[in-house]
Amino acid sequence: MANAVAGARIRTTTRTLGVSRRRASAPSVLWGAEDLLRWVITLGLGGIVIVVCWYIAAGQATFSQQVGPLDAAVAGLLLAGIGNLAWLIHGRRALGERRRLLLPDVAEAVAHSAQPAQTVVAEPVSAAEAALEQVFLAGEGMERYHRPGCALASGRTGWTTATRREHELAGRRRCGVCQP
Amino acid sequence: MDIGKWLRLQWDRVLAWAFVVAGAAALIAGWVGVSGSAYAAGQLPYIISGGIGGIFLLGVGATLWLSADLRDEWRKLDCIEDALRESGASPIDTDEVAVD
Repeated sequence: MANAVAGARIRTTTRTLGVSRRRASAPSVLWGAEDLLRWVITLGLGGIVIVVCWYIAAGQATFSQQVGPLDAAVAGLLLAGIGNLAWLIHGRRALGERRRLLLPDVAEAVAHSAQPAQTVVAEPVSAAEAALEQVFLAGEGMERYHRPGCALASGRTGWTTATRREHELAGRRRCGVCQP
Repeated sequence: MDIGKWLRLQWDRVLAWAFVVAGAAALIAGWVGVSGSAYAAGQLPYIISGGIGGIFLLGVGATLWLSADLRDEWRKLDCIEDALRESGASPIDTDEVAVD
């Protein structure tokens, strides 16, 4: 798993830094330069405030004179916390938006993918016949056909159903993901 | 995989651990400082530097760690998008434009 993630990191590092061909409405990078700048500024300011307050408080002789710097240090910590929170919220939002655009109805697709297995068990036909008679989805001009529950077919409108034979006569091949 | 390559790939998690360790060290140092002083005026600078400073460093470390997780998820979506393209079911609808 760690190797897979590391491999993905190697393959996609360049692409995540730059902007590639993507849907205009989808976020092209997880965090932009502006987000990074905002995060660094809030963290830097918060850190500087804490250090300055510590320096001032250390130079005071009485507790009552140190309360002001203590309050300011807490404010600096809050500022840094807000910066961290904004950074993470922005990242999560960008990720969720891209996931929704890329995989619109994963839950629905998973629910559908459970149905064909039950049908095959109930029908008294051989597996080969069932596979031939089962219908699959494809869009006009598409090169691949998909199972009804395939994540790649989920949310597509205007796609037609046909048997495997019909799809293959139309020159389509099996989807590499659902492997109908 | 050699350690240098691993460090380059996982720099964000390494940095996160460094901040977490530094934050924990600051908290411990602050506690030692406070426990060694009998007066509130002598304890407060340790509270600011060790306590608040330690929490600050822990917060940065946690943020870096969570950011690394988000980046991993983003890279997985890159892989899914590649798979969608290769399967022929384009993930990009009619409003697709080149933005580079």
